[in-house]
Amino acid sequence: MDKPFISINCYTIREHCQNTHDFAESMRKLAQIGYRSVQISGVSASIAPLEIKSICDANHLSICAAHIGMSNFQADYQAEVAKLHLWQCPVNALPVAPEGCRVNESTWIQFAKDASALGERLAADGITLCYHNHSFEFVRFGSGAASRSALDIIYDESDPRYLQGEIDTYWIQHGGASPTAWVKKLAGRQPVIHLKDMVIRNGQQTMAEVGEGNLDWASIIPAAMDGGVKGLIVEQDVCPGDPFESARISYNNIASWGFA
Amino acid sequence: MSKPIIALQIYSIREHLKTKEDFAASMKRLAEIGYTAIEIAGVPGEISPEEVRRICDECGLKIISAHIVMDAFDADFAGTVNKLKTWGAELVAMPVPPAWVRESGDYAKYAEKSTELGKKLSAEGITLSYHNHSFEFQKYGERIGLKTLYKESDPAYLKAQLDVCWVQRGGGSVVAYVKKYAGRMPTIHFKDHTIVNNDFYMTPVGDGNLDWKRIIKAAQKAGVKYFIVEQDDTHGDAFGQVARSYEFLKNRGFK
Repeated sequence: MDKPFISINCYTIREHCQNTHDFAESMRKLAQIGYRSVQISGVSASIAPLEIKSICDANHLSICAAHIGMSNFQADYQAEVAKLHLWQCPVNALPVAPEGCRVNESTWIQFAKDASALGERLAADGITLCYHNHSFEFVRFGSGAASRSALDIIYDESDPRYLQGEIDTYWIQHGGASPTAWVKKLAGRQPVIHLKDMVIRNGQQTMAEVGEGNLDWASIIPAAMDGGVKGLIVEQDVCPGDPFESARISYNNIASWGFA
Repeated sequence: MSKPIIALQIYSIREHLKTKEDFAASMKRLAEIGYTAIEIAGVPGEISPEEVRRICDECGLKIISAHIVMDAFDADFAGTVNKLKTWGAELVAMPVPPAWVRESGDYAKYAEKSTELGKKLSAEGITLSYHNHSFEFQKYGERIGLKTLYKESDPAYLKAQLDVCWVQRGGGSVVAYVKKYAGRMPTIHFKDHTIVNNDFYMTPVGDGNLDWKRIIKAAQKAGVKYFIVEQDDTHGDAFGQVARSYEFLKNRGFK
């Protein structure tokens, strides 16, 4: 089995992606740490897509995924696809379900169908559409054996060819579910995954560098690989200090485990 | 191996345990729901341990365990043991550590003291456990508090009463923790939660997001004797909610 690649979501270092100069410096630092791939998110729109590509190329960083939302595709599908093609980016993960979709079971089902339809269009354009979860999708509907969460609905009510997973391990844990169980559930349906760890600090749940917290990586990562996940994307929305230091710790921990 | 028995931590129905009458009526209701075993957290001060025992016996409820803090044993070991024996409880779990443990983070010292207490209790035919929350999942030095506690204590004298919901909240894999402490866990706390309005919301067992199929399987394999249902927040419908937990486990073949 091919080893997965280690990537990082630029959202982690977003304060350092707000102008061309900073973005270039940031990509240089990530490459120096050892990353060979990034997910574009949190990068200022003032930096032209072509510049983003050339800066990544200069640092031998492939763009494994983006985080373009549904409303952007609705506004200008062709422009967004052109951007993804320019970036040679094969995956786009919807970063969040719009608020209007989160009202009740029917709106969730409609969202799943709309995302699936978008995914079908994108598939024809050579792009895989995924959904990236938080924990608000762990609201439940129905009872007894028929009970399911909104995240279950998203995947049950969409076509597995056209809507795949980009689960976020921290948010799955936060929602009360097992990240390993979700990785297994989405076997064959998940090209990339968000690796994010959880610690308790000052009595509160907080995000942490991968390997520094309590999540069960010894189960999660092998299950992901068995399920065909190709990209392990590090993410840390909240870093205790320098986000590049956090990025370095995550990279080194994952690399030390020998999975990638 | 006989199947684990369903029990209820009566902290779940604490607002219905304020007077002697309420206590008696509540125990009757639990028996009607189907419960045959309880774990005590607190009882009304006006009822003696003998009366608690009598009321529970009459309802067919066995007091299998109690939650008692280390400080209570330090203050009056003989009296506390006597209360446990009157209740007929052979198991006791410390629901929280003494304040100095949280303040200092010295789980190794707490492990040492727990082993000592556990050894004394063992001589009385009583088994001591620790019941976790999620604050023990904080790191102190190399390890999180909970792992230090169990590593530095003698497994013969300090058992684990894992609370699965708090393990989940601490970031731990519930199934992995149950497997890790297999053979060291006579009782387990079954507690569930979902997300409502983007917030943590405690539910009856089976109504939330925890991975019950795998958790129950692992707990059985681990040699757990009692599945103790607990629901700290029952949203104003304590008996309704604890009944749902009982039904969920009953439907899975437990009693």
